[in-house]
Amino acid sequence: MQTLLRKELREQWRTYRILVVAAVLSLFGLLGPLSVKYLPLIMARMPGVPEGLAEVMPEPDVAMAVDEYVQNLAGFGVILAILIPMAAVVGEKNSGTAAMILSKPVSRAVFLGSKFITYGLIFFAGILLAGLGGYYYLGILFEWLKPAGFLALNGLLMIYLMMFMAITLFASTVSRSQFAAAGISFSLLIFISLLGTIPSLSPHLPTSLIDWGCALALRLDAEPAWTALAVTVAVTALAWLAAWLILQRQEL
Amino acid sequence: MSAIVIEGLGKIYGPVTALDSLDLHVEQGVVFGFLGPNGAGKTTTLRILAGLARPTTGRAWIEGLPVGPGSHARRLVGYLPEEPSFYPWMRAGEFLADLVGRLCGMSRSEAKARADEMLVLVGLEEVAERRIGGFSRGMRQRLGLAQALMNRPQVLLLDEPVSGLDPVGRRDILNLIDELRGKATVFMSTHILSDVERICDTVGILDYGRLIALDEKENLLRRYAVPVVEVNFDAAPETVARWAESLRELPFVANIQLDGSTVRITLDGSVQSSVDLQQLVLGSDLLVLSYQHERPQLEDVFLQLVG
Repeated sequence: MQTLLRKELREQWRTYRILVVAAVLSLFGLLGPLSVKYLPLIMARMPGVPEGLAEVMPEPDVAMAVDEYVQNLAGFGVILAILIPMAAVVGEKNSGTAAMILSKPVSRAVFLGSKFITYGLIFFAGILLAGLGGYYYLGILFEWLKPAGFLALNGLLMIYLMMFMAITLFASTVSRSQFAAAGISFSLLIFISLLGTIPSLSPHLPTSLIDWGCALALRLDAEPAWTALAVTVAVTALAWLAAWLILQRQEL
Repeated sequence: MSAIVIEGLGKIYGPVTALDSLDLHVEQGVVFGFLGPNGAGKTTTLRILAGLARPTTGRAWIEGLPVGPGSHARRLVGYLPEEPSFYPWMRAGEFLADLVGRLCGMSRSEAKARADEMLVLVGLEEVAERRIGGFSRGMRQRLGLAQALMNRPQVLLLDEPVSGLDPVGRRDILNLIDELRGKATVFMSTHILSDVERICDTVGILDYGRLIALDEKENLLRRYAVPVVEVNFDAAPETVARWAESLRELPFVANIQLDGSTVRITLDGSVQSSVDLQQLVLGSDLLVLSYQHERPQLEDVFLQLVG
């Protein structure tokens, strides 16, 4: 596992994917609190903005900033969690490198697992950077949040993104092109969003983790979304397991 | 014990039968040439042996271990696919030392030493620090062979090992394979019959997924090659032609080709036919400059069997 893990990390570094993930997540992590704080001021000074609009905009507060932060990271994080791993398996199968590696004494579970762990580590680093930056700006622009709550928010965000990574890895295993893999993942994203419109289902869906995380960060009273957490972890595990079982049966 | 045992191996892709009840034993330490036209099932056989594909029917063993995805037989095998693929961002040296060597269970220092040794062996030591993405096809082929040899395999599976190589590269790789004789079992598929003729001890010919010939190379040549005698006369071409025409009616002469004063006579294969022809040549009253039995070629055998 160590050898393939090192190879995967080296690949992500040399192909600049680590930098892309870190840069995008950090940027949007920082932009959350900054945009909430300064958008009304920018709008007030922009020419052509109807008079009085800036005044009717709500006064920015820490809740709005946290919400913006998490929406940014969840939105762009999901896009990255689909685009970065979409070629992970199908790309290696099509190019022939998977056959080269799997003719060596290495299991297909390790081959798949090393990819999943690597993507997990990259996104962990990205969210860590975004979290540090976001926490700092939330603190200096609004108020200092309790670290444990903010940590919990980012932890739940990470779990949410891991689910999309696992789904994309599964899609990359079953599909014949990386774009088909991305298509499958985006379809599932849309499907989950549509399910979220059903009020009875919504609290049990992965998106509820984000609301729960916000509540924890802001120390608000909110119902813990344990079912959503269980569903997210279960989908992640099932996607990985299905990818492994399918890869086991595939010919290279 | 045979190094490779294949029993009733079959592989069906939809309506296509790629392999049809293939039975094969390859002895240890030999260089085995696996011949066949395109689509005969050579690559499928190699992929099954390398654990990358599953047979529809039958089984195969390498050094007594069953092959298949996840099989321990992979520890004993080196595999070179027809078009070896690499990570373009990796350097040749690190690919062998940090990836292949470590996957084969070597320690870091052992893998580095073995990688350096392999790079020298395949003539890539000068480009060890270059990215593989910039390698030519020949260089990739050499690196492919290096990775297949990293774990000192007992069985080396080579799919068209010299395709894409220039004549010097081809010679080097064939010499290298030749040197492995007795140290490892080499199972190589190729289209280049002269290469098989040069280095293989045993030859198997596959056609439409079925093994149609299997024997030691010399036996195969003896059994299937058509005897051809070339006689060069010191006489006018018209006189030689007249004499040659007189042979056409003979029952043991299969074909006659004329080229000036040289006659190329294809015989029916019996020993007596060679003796009879020799007497006819001596009795022709023509001055013979040379009389030569052409060495049978593997190409003749191949074309006779699958042509």
